[in-house]
Amino acid sequence: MARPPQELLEAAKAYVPVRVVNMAGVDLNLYVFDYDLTFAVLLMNGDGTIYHRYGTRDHTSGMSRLSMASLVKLLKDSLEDHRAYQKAPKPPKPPKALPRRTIEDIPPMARKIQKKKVDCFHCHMVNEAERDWAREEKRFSREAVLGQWPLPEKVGLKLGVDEQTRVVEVLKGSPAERAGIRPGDEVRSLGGSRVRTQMDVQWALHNAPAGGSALPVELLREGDMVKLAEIRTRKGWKLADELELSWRSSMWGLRPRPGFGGRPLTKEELEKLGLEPDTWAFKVGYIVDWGEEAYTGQNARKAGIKNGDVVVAVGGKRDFASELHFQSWFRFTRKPGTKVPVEILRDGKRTTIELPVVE
Amino acid sequence: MKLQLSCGLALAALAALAAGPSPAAGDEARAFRWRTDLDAARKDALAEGRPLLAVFR
Repeated sequence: MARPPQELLEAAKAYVPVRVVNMAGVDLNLYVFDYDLTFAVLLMNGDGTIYHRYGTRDHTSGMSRLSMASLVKLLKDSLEDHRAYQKAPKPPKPPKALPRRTIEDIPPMARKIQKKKVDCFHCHMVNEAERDWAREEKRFSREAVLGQWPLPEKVGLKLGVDEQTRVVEVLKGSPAERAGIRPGDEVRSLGGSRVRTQMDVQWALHNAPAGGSALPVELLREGDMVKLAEIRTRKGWKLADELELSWRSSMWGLRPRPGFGGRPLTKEELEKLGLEPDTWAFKVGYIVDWGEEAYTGQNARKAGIKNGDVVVAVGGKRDFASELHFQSWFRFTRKPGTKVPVEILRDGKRTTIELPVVE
Repeated sequence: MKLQLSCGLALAALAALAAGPSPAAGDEARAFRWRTDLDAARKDALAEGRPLLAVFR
């Protein structure tokens, strides 16, 4: 295990540190963060006021938007926010303060616990329990899943990693470009909240309406504070695509599902099968025959999918980035009641299986 | 100490911090006292006038 750098330990000394590896009893109305993450940091006041959130990722890797430098900087800089807050504290009060609510209180989880003892609750289990409950109550919304915690790119902002609120690039034709934001700018506040991290930006976006919004933004440009016109978004702006969604545990809960999967072939394996080394293919390593989703595996078997088949295309698509991407794409784009052609190699022969899409 | 670690190392170091006392994490990390009770840590933070650093792993 690597040693935490001295700077990190020094910066953290000003804080009361608490680490949480089990969500049992954690107040979900207070500790709000992206529960799909495996590493999330909240800097807050003891009264429950959250100053900043740190920790985010995208589909490319779990570390793509984290760095030691940015975490150390945040720990140091946030002390300024803490000192300012201490002078004029505004603790959450009713009706803003919500009653304590834990993962154990979510009805499907509460029933599960009654049947079988559950000792450890991972963060992502919060989302799963919420989703199951929403399904039970017929208020499940794919849009809510696809629109959670939008990345800054959703409004056209590419932000730095070490300098988390520094604008690295402004995407052409984006709301950020229309608002007048430029590369090199530092985002100081968004939607009225002070931001110091990419996740702070995502928090502001997370709370913005999916139907379109106008978020006021403040920037530092060459040392001067600049107030810009709002970042204006239109209906649907929040929605992630299947690749963006692919890393999320929440993705697995969406339907429809293929009922099978496996690991992508290596270059050597592709070559042995006479496939181009830069093509995508995977060997079916499992067919789902367990739990509530066993029907999806049964459907795949009935259609003709077998363990060991090499899948070279699904629905004509051959450029999946990973198995997660395939799984996410299936859930995101396939319509129940239709069929999807699955092109496979079996015993050296290429064949196409028509897989019914079931929900 | 230079802070530009590779992605893998940075993740490992962050994990080391969040993992709590470990012989492999070094003396400083061992001396770093993590609380595990959120409510108690909040009360302490309030009483001591210090901010709370809550790490969820």
